[in-house]
Amino acid sequence: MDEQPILETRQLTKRFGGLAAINNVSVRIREGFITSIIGPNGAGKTTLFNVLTGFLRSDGGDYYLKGKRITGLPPYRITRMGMARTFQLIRVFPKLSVLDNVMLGCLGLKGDNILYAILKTQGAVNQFYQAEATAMKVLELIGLPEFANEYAFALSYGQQKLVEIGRVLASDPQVILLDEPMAGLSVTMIDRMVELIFQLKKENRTVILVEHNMNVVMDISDQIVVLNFGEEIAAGSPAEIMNKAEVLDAYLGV
Amino acid sequence: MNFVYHVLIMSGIYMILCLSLNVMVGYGGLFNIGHAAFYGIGAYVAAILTVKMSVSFPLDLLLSGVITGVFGVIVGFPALRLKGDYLALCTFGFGVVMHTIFNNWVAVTHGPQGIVGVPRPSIFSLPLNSLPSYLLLVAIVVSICFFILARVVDSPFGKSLMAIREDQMAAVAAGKNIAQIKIIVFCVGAFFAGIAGNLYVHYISIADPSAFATDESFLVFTMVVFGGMASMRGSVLGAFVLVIFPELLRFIGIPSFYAAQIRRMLFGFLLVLVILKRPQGLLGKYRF
Amino acid sequence: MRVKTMMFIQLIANSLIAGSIYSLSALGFTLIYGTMRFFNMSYGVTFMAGAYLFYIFKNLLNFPFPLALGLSMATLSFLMVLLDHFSFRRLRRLHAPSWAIVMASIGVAVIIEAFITTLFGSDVRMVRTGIQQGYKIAGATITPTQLIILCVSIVFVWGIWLFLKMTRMGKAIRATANDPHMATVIGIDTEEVFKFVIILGSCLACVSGVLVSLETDIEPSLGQPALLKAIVASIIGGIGNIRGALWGGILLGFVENFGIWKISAGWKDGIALALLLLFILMKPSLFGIEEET
Repeated sequence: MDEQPILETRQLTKRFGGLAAINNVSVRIREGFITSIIGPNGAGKTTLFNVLTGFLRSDGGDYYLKGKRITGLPPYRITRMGMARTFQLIRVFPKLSVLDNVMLGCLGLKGDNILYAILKTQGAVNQFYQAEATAMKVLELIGLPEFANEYAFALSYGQQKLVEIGRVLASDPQVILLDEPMAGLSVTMIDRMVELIFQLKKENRTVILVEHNMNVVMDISDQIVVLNFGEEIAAGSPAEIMNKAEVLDAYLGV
Repeated sequence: MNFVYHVLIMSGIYMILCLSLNVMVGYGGLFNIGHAAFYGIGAYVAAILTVKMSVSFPLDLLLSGVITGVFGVIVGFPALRLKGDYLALCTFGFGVVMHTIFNNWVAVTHGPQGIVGVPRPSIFSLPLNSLPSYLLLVAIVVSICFFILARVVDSPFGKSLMAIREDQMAAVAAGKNIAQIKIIVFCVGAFFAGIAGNLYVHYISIADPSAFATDESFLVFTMVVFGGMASMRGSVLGAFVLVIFPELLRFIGIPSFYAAQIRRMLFGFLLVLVILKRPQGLLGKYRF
Repeated sequence: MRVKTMMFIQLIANSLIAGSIYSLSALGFTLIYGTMRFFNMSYGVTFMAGAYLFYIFKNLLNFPFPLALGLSMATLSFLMVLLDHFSFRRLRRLHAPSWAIVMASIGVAVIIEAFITTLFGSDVRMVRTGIQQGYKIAGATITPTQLIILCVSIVFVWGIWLFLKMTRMGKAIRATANDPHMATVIGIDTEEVFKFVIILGSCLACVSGVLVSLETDIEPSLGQPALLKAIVASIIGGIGNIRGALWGGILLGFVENFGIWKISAGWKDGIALALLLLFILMKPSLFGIEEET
């Protein structure tokens, strides 16, 4: 890779007690690619996500977003810098409407500041309507415009997953981290999710997935990173990965 | 007729208390059961400023709010890392500590006797000695309070606050600085409770510690739940109803000692009943 | 012996005696929280109601001490189980958020306190029998009543300890406290466990209340400081942790007694609370432990 990776880790380590969940991991994610991170359970995939997005503090090494060092930054700062994530066990705001859920992803609103909220300046109000319009567009992209005013708790599991992604998209992120987006979805929903991911790639966003569904991974990924016991054991295109002995070993052997 | 004014003035004061608590608890999910501490701080600040330091309206009103707001920030900080039940304990503890201070720091608060002789505020050197004039002041302050808080909860800030209530991790992932939001909410909630305390003490003319004990915190919380969590109008209605009905008890002619205890029992029952049967209260939207 | 040393030893004695009651009380509270994840804010009035029940049985009906104590514990446990059945259990069924259950327990506490105030008035009642001659033990003066307090506390703590360790229900309680979901999976009826825990907790609260009444005049507002102290002692030891509750109670006894030495009595409850806040904020948990997830 000659250009600068959009997301990069260098010797990244995270320990829980004596166990290294991630051990000296150095990966480079290329901009505009769909990258999948795979590996057996407990390989450290979600831990990696959590560290990269600031939910866990690293014990060694650094990570960079668009060339800037983001080690140790809290999650809200990282989202504002253009990298947003979903959660393995979906997290939506149940007692808020779907539209509100998505709008909460919008960044930089004047109305987020309490003084502007109280004064309700014209600028703040205009921004609000813009945000609303953006959120509606996102709802159309994910295919749920008719649910805008429903409470999020009323939606099905798959729909709530889409809502969470909608919240992520509303922040206009350059890097999107999806934690097991296909888990628990019906075949139709999986197709819909794949379409959505391809659409994001068209918009030149970088998508990184943690995923177990090998069919999907092989189909859509430009790049695959394989983790096992917290270490990177292989990286490359799907074709390259498929034949690597270490990968087969990791999944089939113990 | 004086009775009517009295009831309206008290319900106005409780409306401010309920609105400010509702923003914290109903909208923000910040489990605060020590709100009376802020109420008391505002009251004592007002009493000390006007009686001992001849500060006048509107400066003392503002200072009541601001100083209480500072306490709100102070309590807000430790509250950042505490989850649900522990936050409740922390605020409960704060309430008891403040009450103990009100009761025992005799040099400043005059202990159990309280600070007496708190005058009515004067506007353009006319003291608001008549009840109708004071009611007018209270009504204006309540309206301003409602106006401001309604705007707060309706805004993106308010939505972020509700997001915190729903799921803090998701709120953080969505780019919200939840620590800052929580501190601000504690500050604002405390500010308005302090304002209510100021209005109360100028009306009653005594700052007395027994009015700011834990029972008071529970009472306001009950009003918020009864009126409806996360409903501004619910707080107004809840405060109004729950101030009026106990006052009507007076007309039934029960000796006042028993009346006080029966009032407490009724409020206890109401709280339990509402939670068991209709947790959304009168105007709230969600069951739990 | 020099006066200062004597005073010091007396303070230690007083601390241990007070501490033993606090430990007992904290044990009940922590048991309830540890098993049911329920910050029972009506624990304080349970304590107070126990004292009043004892007053009724012993002073008004003139039953002997053990009988009065036994009847108080039985009555209180029965009432508390009934109460739980009709209120908190319903909320648990509805998967109510913790604020709802805690607030409901506060409502209950207010009702009970107001009720007892109506029945007995807010003046104090005396269970104790007046000034006693104390024995001199190791330089401190300890009255027979205080000895009784120490003994009863030790017996009850030991009894609960054995119960939890040895009996089937005790093991079921510990299992449920450890992991409520797994407990149901392996066939434990958690509601039955909860009933038992309420009984144990009520008994502990009752005994603590009775012991306090032996030395202090009782009044309806006794419940509040009792609740605070039970909470403080529990949290110091790590909430849900039995051994911790015991040490927490003793520590509280010491801090209170030695603290008062320098500060006036009016601030006593403030000290308990200040301790609580400090511990919650710093959250180390001296006895290492049941971390809240």
